[in-house]
Amino acid sequence: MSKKELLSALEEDYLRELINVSFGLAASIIGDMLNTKAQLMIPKVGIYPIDTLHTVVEGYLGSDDTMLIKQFFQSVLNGDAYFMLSKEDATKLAKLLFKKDDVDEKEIECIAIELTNILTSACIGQIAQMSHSRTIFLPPEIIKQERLLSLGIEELRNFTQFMLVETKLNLESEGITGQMLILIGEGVLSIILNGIPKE
Amino acid sequence: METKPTIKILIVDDSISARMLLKNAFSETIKKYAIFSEANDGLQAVKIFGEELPDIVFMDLTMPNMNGLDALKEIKKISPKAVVVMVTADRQKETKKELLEAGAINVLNKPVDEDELRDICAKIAFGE
Repeated sequence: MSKKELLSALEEDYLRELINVSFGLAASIIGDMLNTKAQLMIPKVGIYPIDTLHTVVEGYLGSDDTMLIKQFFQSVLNGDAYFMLSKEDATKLAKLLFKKDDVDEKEIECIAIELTNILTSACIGQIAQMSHSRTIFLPPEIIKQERLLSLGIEELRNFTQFMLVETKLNLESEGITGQMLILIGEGVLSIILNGIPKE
Repeated sequence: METKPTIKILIVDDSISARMLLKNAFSETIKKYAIFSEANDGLQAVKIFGEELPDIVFMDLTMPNMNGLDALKEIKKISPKAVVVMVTADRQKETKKELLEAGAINVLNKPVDEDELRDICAKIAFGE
């Protein structure tokens, strides 16, 4: 099943606009943090059925170079967010943040976690604000790729869909790409789409 | 017979949801006096501006075909006194500065604050 079967054109447009607004805020925070102009592009946004998760994720993971960061959010709006970022891109970011050419593993992990926290908070926070609901974020953590790939029926039983957001962060001359996956239940999707404006 | 004053408002955004959200954010007073037009990219905005000469343009920055900054510059060529308010998710100071330097009279952050929108419309349309 493709995303087009899950969302109408207006719903897809609304979702894209929502992510666009939230990532605008995230870009501003990242730009301030790195003391440079940041632009977050969103080439792809879609909602997919949860049973296609492994197929979609395998397309992005697989290489040892990909870092996977997980962050839970709970309350009325609840789900699991995962951010995928190549180690090469995380290193570029760490160099910009720490203003040095030689960065260590800890500094690379630190920037990957911070970036996830900014993107998740901006994205889910905006959804919560526009849908007049509430959410609480748990601290993000770096996990092994296998943990996402091995999620079974039992672990996924609370979810019916996942949202995939592809991002491209432009910083000075650097281009950094990443993918965000947000696992949500049926109720959460209704809350999100409830914000669609009516004429 | 008394003629009602009208204000022509052009809303430019590639997202139909964004155009609807902005339209819904206008106060009932403004809606009562407004004639709305819409464009879904910068190219269309410039064309409609030239044909209709709206009183105010509310325009997104990031759009396909022609972005908001280029469209703003084109509109200013048609009418240097054009009143253009940029509406963007990009909250960076440099972006705001660039848009104001190009001739925007204000830059609003998405999602648009209804009070801010009301104040701008009141100032421009009714000289309040």
